[in-house]
Amino acid sequence: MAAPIITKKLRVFFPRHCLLYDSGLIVGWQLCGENAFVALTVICSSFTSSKLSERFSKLRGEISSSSLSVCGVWINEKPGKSVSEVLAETIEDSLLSTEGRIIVCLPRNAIVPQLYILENKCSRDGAVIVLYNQPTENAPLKIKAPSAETSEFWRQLQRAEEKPSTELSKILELLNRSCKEEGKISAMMKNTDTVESFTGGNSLFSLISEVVKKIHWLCSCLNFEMFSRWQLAVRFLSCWSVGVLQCLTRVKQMKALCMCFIQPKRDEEDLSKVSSLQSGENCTTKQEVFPIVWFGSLISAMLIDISLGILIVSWIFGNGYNLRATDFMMEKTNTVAELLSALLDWLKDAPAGLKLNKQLAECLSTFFLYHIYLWQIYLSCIEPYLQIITKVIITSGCLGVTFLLSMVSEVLSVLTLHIYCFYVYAARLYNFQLKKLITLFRLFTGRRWNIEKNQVESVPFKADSLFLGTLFFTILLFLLPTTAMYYAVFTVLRLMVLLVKGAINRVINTMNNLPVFPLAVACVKPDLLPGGITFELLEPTIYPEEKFNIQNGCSRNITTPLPSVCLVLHNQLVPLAKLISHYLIDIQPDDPTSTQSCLTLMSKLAKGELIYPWVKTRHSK
Amino acid sequence: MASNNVKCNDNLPDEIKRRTVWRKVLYKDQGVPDNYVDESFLDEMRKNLHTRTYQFWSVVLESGAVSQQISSVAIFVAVFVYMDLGALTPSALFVFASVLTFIGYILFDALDGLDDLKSCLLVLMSVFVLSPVLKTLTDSISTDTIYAMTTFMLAMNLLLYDYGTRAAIVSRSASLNASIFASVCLASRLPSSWHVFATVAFAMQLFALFPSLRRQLKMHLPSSDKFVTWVLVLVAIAMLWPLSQLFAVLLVLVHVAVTFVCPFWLIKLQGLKK
Repeated sequence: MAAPIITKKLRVFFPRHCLLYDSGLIVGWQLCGENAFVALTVICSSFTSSKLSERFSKLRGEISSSSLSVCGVWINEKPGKSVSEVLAETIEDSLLSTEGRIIVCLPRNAIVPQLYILENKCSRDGAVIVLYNQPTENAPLKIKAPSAETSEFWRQLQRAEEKPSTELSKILELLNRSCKEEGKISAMMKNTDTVESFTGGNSLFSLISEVVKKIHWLCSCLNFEMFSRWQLAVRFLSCWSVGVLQCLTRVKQMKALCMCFIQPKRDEEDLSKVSSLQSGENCTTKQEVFPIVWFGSLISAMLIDISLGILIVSWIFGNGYNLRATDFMMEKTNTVAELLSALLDWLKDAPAGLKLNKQLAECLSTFFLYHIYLWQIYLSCIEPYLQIITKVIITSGCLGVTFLLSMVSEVLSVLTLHIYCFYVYAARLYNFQLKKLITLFRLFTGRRWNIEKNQVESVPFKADSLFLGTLFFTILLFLLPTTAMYYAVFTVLRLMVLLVKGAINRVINTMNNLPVFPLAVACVKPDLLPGGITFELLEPTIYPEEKFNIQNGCSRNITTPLPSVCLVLHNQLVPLAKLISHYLIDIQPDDPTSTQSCLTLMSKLAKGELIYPWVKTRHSK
Repeated sequence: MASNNVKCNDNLPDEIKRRTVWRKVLYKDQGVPDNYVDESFLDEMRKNLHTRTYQFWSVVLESGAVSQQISSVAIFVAVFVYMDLGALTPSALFVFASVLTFIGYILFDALDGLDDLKSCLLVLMSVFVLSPVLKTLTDSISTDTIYAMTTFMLAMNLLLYDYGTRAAIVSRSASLNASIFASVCLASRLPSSWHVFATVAFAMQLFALFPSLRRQLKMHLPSSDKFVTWVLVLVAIAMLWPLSQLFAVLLVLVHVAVTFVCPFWLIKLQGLKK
């Protein structure tokens, strides 16, 4: 394979299932330029080749099979017939007279077939026989696994490669067509002139896809009008609430399910570009296949999600945990509030010998303690309704365990609202102080920031402004440790909450994209996950040679058995890491779940900018 | 080859040498090799073109500015110590300083009055309002740290002060800011916010207003500079004497060094420039 082949060796692609067939005629494509034969099937009934070619010419009118023809003879010695008998039955002079035909024969007790050729010049120095498993519609043969992102990956997984470029991919395309073509031929052999009955079997599927297409069309019509406003609102909400985000994800999953039935627009555009002559052929080759793995994964992920959710909900209600959950929640909230007030008291007394300003520390502590006080009042207000709220939240688990988890995340963020508030206040204060300090330090050294030149310049300030600036600089500098300490403490608290929420988010994400179905398919039927092809060498079995001699049986020009290598063409499994790493649905690029790099996070923390959820500053626009 | 030629050149008779005057050009064939160097080669070189020769007494006079600033710093520190000991009440200091400033302002009398009054009031008001904050600002920081910080800042003030020379290190605003920072640090050690107010206001007058007055005086009345220097030096020494004789003597020595020893040194080193 790797070495450049100067004189192309003869290659014969032979379907593996035909090895069991009785002797007959080989129908297939002959690629003259490539010096290759692609056998499609073996016809063992007693048709003469002239009749067959008539049929093919008729077929050629209807379907677009490029040059389907009889290209050789298949001889199977196993059934007990001797070679001469077989030859007498099947081979006619008219067939053998035309040159460039092949004879493939499977000797008795052998696995590997042998190749003969009908030709005058015996200049062939060797041949390759490739046995292939006929690919089904959903598992085409292709050179390598798709490299597309997320949902497009799943779609391309089941789609044959477009635009055959290399020699190998051309042959692979023919092989991918072979299943359908064989069906057509077998239908023809049953003496039904029309091919319609074959396609008619899929009427149910087409009905479903029609209905889904209608629904999708309706949805898109509705969407286009309110889309922009809707999208903005939804995006804003999903920034803040995990529950809304989860609803959105579920909607996307349903949409993806619909998309399974619908051919994407890109292909339609492709088709319109193709000239009218070729369009018929393209229809047959590029027809969208049903992405069964994607569909199955989505369905299975949702089913597992929902069934697990219902199980958990029934378990909770069955044991009466819903009543205890309310008490537990109240208890924990009170504990957190008490812990926070203890922490604030401790911070007030300048712990660890920090040089804090006592007055400011007291002031800030009082301010934060007042918030906790407000929080406790709020809790006592909502306590009567808490029972109902808990029930609703737990019931939401019927929609799926992801909903339950996202609700838990929501409850967590509501219960730690005071921590969030503290964090925001402290960060704002710290940020303000830091910025002012930088400006005043420039004033201290008699310089100032020029916005127009975007650089620092030296300015002769007046004495009074210098005096006041230094006064404020001194004050802010001596107050900075106090502010920084409060900021650091509340940032740590906030980061702890964010860590828990991030973990829950990660679990939800995994649940939404559970690769159970692909893994199961990979175990049970790896053919459905084609990720490129491999060739496997089949060891030739030794058999008595003298037993079989075609030249005795019939006429001239048949070569001795060509020295041939026998390969088996396999479909390789897609790497499991790829299956796991690809999400089932697309993620928005500016999604809040998308991570930011560690360095920017650290710099943001140091500057006192809000880390999550962040608001775009006015300057950045 | 070349050395050979030079030798030939040396051997030429004197009359020929005198006849052809050697010129410092390469384009002309003067009968000598390219690397020939005449005696007149370095004649046109100039060394230390812009050297200023200093007179001893003028340097002594100019050093008065340094003495003035050192005295100001000494006075400020002395005032702080007096107030810390309780020997000086803040109101007395404030009244005294304000009267002096007023006299200085009348002397100055060159700018439009209203604007100055406004900014003066603004500064005084803001210091008055902030003085309680300033008082509690450094409570948790130890006194030694404060003193070290103050010393450093006052040294920065002396270093960066504009003594009338042009140098990269001079920064009028930085020097003023350093002294204000030092004054705020010191003031926060005093017992009441009224003390703080008086000290910071005094620092404002001494470090921000007084130097500009001195500069103006020197420009219009050069003879008064000597008088101001003497007064300041004497006041500083007089204020230090009751606190510590040792420091007063040290201050005198510093003044002598700055006014007489350093200029003498400068003049002596002057000869090395040529």
